[in-house]
Amino acid sequence: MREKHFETKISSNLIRAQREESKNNIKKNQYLEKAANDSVKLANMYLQDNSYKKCIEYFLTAAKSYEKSKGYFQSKSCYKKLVSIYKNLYKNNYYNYYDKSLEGLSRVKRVIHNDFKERFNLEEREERISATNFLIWKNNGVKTNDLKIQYENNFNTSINIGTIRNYSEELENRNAVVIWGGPQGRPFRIYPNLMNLATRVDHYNESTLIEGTVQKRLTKEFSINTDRWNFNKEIFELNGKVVPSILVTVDMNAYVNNIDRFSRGLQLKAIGKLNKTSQLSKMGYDSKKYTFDVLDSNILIDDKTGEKIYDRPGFGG
Amino acid sequence: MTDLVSEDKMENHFQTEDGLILHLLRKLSNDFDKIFCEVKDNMLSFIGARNHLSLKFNFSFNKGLKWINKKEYNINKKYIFDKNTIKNNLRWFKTRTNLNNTKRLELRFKENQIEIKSQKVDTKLTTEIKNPPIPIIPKRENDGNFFVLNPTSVYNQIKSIQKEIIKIQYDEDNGLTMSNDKGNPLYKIDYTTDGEFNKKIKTYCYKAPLLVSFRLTKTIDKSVDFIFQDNGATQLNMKSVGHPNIDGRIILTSVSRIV
Repeated sequence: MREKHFETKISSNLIRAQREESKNNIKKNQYLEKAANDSVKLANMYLQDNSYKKCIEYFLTAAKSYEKSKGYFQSKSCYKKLVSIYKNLYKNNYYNYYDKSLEGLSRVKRVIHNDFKERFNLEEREERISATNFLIWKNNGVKTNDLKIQYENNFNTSINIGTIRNYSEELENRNAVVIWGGPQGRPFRIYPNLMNLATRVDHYNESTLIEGTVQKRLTKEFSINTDRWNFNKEIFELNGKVVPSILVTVDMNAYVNNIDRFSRGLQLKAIGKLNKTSQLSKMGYDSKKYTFDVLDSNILIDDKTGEKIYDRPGFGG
Repeated sequence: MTDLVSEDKMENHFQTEDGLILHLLRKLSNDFDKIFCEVKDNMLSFIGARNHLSLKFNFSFNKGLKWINKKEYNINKKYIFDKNTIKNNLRWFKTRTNLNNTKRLELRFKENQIEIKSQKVDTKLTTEIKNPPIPIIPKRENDGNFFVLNPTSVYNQIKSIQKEIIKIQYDEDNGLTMSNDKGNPLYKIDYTTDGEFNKKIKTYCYKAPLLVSFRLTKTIDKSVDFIFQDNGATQLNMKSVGHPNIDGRIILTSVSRIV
């Protein structure tokens, strides 16, 4: 039933995007992005049900829609996911899609590493927004000042800080990026939004920001190995419906001092290093059950108030 | 009215002649911003947790404390108290002299608060949230078990080490020693052990939580078992000599960047 609903939404957004093809670039991209976001969600649902054919079709739809709307990094993650699905299948089912996936992956990689400067026609506002989005993803998070410098160096054209903020806010509304900071006098940091990515492997071991609602405390699901235990943590699942699920580890000082917030289902932004769940065992937390992505948070922000509620100190404590 | 009286009589509460429980709770509030409290079956526990330190102090009802009324068969209540609430409401229990003058101390475990009553005290501790999820306090296996003979001296030694990280080591030549992460100055710790150790074992932990641990041993009359394993977490088991109903377990994480 849910699948049907998503399928209808995706096809109508693709048709709308087609209609806007030569009329309105902004609307076209917005429809494509919506279709792509829903396609990733739907593909993940089919993947959980082991319906590989449908799953592959929708990841491919997502990859192409992102690529067309110039969301090259999101597109790359879909192609990468497709390739990894084929590797896990160990059979030649739906092989014609495999070629397309490899071809798409190398095409998008080429754009990201070589051709991106020629891909954006900066006379149009929508293209300037896409170029801003591209640089945010390329840097895996950046401050406005640094983004201004990068933009000017890469595209040989000037841009002011206010415009960058406007573009970033628009991108945040379109679920492409996440912002921390601002509005006035405070640094404005913009990060790629990793919640709806097909796979987050490209972001492992890198510092990033994620936002979501604390759903469930999972600390009890992990056993503590005292031979390796080097940090006292609490472990939570963010946004239950996000696939692949994402866990966030919270330092004990942050948990204890904000226990009322965590019990209420805190909406948070967390900055830290993203990794596989298996990395938790290096800190002494073992689990065979969970194979999610995990963010070891250094900084926690209450998303409702924008207040920084925790900043990890250097030592001791 | 009759109902209310009978309800009140049926409350879970216990009585003791000893205020050390609340003295210790007040001491813990010096080092922990929030302290968890759990009353389960025949045990009252105080739990504190920080980034590199977890501890649990247990008070057993079987020895010394007695239930006056036990309403529920399987009692299980949880609370979390702020350090300022503890400090302000347990002023009487700050000094040892006052502890000795505490008679017929009663603790009543209500839904959102613990009421504390004695001849001279009538106060309460209100929980910040109902049934807080309590942090897990891991437990080491009994390997590398050393019984420290003079915890006060160890406390002074830790204080004198001017580094963030402390190395604890055992080898056949020097016995149990403590030093900064570079190995100097080297302090020998007086200990006894019931096991035999042929190998060299060492671990690193942060100074601040180690200092907290040994400061607490002074509060409950010293008796410390040091348990550590090569490059792993360090555990201290404490038993109060004068109060057999009190025991504590403190566990410190290891330092990852050196391991």
